[in-house]
Amino acid sequence: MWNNCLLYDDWVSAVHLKGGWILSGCYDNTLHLWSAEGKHRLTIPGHTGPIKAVAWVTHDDTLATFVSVSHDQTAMLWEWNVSTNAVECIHVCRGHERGLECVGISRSESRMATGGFDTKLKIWSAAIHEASDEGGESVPKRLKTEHGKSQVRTPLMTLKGHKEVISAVNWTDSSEICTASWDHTLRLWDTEIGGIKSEIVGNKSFFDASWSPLNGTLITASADRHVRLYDPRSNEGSLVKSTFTSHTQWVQCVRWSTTDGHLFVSGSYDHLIKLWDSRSPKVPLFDLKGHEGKVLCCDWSEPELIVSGGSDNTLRIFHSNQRK
Amino acid sequence: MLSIDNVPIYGSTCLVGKMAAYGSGIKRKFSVSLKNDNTSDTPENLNDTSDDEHFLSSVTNDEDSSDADDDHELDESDEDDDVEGESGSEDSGASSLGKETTTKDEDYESDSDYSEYGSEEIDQEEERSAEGLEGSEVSYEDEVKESDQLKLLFKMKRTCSSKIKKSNTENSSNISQITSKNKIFNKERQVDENETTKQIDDEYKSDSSDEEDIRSTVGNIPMNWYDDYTHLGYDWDAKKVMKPLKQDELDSFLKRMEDPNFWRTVRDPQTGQDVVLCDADVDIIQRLQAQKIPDANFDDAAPWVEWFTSEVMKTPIVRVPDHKRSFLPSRVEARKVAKMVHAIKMGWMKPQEEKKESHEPKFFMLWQTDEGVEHMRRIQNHIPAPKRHLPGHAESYNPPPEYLFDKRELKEWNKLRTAPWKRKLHFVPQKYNSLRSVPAYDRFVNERFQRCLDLYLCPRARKMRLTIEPEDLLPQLPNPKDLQPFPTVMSMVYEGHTDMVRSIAVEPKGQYMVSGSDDLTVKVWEISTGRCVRTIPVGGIVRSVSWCPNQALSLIAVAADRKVLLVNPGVGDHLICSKTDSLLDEAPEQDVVVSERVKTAVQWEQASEDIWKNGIRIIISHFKEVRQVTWHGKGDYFATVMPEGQNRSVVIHQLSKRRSQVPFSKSKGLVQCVLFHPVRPFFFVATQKIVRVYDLAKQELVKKLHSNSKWISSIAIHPGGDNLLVGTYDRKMLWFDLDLSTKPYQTLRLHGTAVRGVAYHRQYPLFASGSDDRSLIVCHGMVYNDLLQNPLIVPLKRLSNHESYNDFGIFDVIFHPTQPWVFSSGADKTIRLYT
Repeated sequence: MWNNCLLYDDWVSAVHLKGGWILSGCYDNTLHLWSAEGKHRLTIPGHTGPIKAVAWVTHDDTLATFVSVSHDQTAMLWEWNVSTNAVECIHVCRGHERGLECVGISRSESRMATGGFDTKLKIWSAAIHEASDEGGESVPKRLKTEHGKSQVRTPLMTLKGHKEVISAVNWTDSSEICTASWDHTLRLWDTEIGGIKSEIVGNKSFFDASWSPLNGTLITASADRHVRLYDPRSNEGSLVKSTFTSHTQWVQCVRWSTTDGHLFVSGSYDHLIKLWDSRSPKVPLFDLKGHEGKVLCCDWSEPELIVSGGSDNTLRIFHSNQRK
Repeated sequence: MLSIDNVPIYGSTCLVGKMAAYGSGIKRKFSVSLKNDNTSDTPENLNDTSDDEHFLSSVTNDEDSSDADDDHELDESDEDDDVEGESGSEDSGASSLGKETTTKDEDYESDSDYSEYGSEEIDQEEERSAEGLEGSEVSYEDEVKESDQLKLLFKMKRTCSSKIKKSNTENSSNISQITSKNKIFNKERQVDENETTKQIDDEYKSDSSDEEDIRSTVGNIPMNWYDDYTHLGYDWDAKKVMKPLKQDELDSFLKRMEDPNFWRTVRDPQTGQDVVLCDADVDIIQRLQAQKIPDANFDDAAPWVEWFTSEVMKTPIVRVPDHKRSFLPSRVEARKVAKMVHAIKMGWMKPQEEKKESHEPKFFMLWQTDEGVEHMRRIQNHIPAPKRHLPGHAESYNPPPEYLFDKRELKEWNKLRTAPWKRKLHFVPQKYNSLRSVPAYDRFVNERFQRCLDLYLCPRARKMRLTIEPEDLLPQLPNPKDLQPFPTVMSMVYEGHTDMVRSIAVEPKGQYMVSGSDDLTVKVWEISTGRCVRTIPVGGIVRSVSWCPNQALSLIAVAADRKVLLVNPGVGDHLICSKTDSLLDEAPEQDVVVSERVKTAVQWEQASEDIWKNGIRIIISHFKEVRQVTWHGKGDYFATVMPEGQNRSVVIHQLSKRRSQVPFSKSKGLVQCVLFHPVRPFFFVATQKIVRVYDLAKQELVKKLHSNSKWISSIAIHPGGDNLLVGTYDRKMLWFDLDLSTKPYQTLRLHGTAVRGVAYHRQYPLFASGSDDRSLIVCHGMVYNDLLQNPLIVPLKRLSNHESYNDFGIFDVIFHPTQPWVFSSGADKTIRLYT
């Protein structure tokens, strides 16, 4: 394992990796595009608040779309032409009343869900080019004209229920969303009926959650130094299937491996990223050192690359030799 | 029979009766002896002396004349009574041995059942046989049935203690007498009648008292015990009496067909032999079946001889005292018993429980030990006199040599002349050859005196000493682990200020926090990441910051030196921020004339353009240094404190009208801090020693809370509004229950130095205090809705992460509005978050 360090001007608060491209969000309101080799491709201004989460929506060789959510209460859908290296904000998603915290793309890549400090979960269309009359909540005229070229998009659905910040959104199914919130709950939502399916109550605020399609379990980071594994399918016995304790500070982000149902990474305010095997709750497999500040985000979407951003203004790329 | 009609005989019968009550063995002997008398007489005699007839009547069976002796046959009706042996029928000849007992004394008959002694069982037998056989027509043709019945009867005869005994007189036939002589019975059956009379002429030749069968010695036991064995018992030579071979059906059938005596053949269960019943037996059985007296010779129609008069005599014949049954309990006793029964019913008294007998061996002390406390009945807590030591070997006149002092011991003993109480022995053991040579005891007087002293100086009373453990005085508090959640570890350090952070405040939503510092700036932080979102220079030492509780406004009040700034931090909802800006953009019309007193103290001022972009919207200039700014719960009013402002030290501002009031005209002392009540229109003003509670609506003083301390530093109010927490510079934290009293409900002396900040949590039952000793102490403070229950206060956690700087530790403490998190700002330029 070796790591690569990409320097930023400010805290790196969001990162997502897909197809060899690293999309990252920064506290200086800009998005950055890097290649996996560490070549900087683009700096994308646009947001007026710190970026809190980014996600690739679609990706192919010529065109890629991604979404970024920010504290400026908007989520932006961008289209990036890979060959010409031109990026364009297609849609500005407005509707949240406070800063956004998280975004989740559905598996079909047609929907996305966002949550933020206004405690509401909003579901949007993630498609770039679509009929504008797809439905959804009515758009105030003022908003429509505001953003020049980019169109304003309104949420398809707003789900209320959480009492505090929604800190993580995961699509577990084509119509099921799992959210984690500061109000100590994990909730499963059904987007088709637009309501809460089930609720798991923890005893600490959740800062992040990651759901693995490989094993169907949920790994959570809370306002303590433990990483906890929940199984949303089981409803008997203890809710917490196991607790991973090795960090010494708040754990801010957790991500499952996309290829191995047992491995996940967690990034913490103690400057460490830890690679865990879910079968050994006491000792992590690896400590990924390098950050000199709080780790704010991490991603392991590509099996051989673990990327993380932190408050030391760096994005670090850890190459794992994990087999595909 | 000569003497029978005389008194002596009567006496003897009486004797028999009495004896019978004691033991059957004696009884039997008596019966035998009497019978012996009878047998010595001729039956003619018997019959002739008809007076004596039923006196002597034994159940005789004249086999020869059984048919002929019609006289002796009984009426059916009489027989019933007789068989029952009822006392009413004087003529109880049916009871086999009743002859001895027919004393005809009513008293005796009724009082004791000795009339039935011996005969009782045969009565039962007869009853049973009667019951068993009455219903079925007895016919000898039905041989099988008959033989079964005979077997039954035989068995019963065997099991009964009384046996039919036959005795023969010279002339007459066999007299079968019930004398429990089975052996004879058996024997007799086998021989001819005449032969038997000769053989058993003297029945004393065989041991008549022994009821054991001579063939089997197993005794009177249920014979089914031997069902599983091949033998039936043991004979006199201790050899097994084997069971006879079992006959199969064919054999028994052939036997039934061929044997003319089959119907009278009975199996003896004790020997297993087949026995052919003789005619006499059969006759008895037949009589019994017919419910007649077995003795064919018995004359139940004999004339009644009244030995005693049936009339009640004036003086009793016997001097037997009244029976116990005739006693009636005395009334006094009955009353006592009734009382006790009542007491038991009401539960005052407990009936003595039956003592469980333990199977363990019991030991009793023969003598009391020397150490044991003497128990005296009437003297409570008696202190016994000290006991003298028992003399040992050393005191002997001839002690064993090892007790005698050698030179060294003697030297040692002599050395302790000045301190004789240190000596092991108070004398030197001496050896004398004989007791005779022992001289007079020279220390006698001394010893008596010592003993008197012992007794005299012995303690006279027991002193009860109360021991109280220090732990017992502490209240029982719940375990802090059960009071989760509360902050336990430091999770975040907010670094960025360059000087002491004097005050912090948290946004009502809980996303951001604001801090004011000595470095002349106010910083807004994102709580979850520790990111400083905004830094606002305010141009003065920030002594207090306060976030507007109105969630429709995005506003912070900052007390910087002599100014109070209303700052829009520009975080959170953009819409609210812009609305706040537009609201504060233009000043409302001032229609009220501001008095000179207020005008000289406070001036409102719109922020100029260059500081507008920093977020500062309104500047309120005060005439003295502002120490504290605090919002009313609705977010329109806020109060500022200028400790040096004399009678204008407290100013209440109204945001919407941009107006200020000076509520107090007189200075009550150095005002330290003020506070709005969360729900009621109350206003708390803390001076150095007293917290005054004013009702703003009625404009009067409601309460004065005496802190018993020298200098109040800070106050905080419980969200319920009934409890007030006061921190003081003299290290104390005071909890006032406003409903309870004006004195502190609890005084918490947890800190080592001055307490500078106290805070309540809005949702969780938590409060915290920060002190100059760098420690933040989190306590559980549960307030119950029930007015009868006092608040529960449990110190939970001391968090000492701040560093000391110029002897300052923690300046301010505040809780997160929704999470169980607490922030502290310190002199070490940091703000710390504990979760």
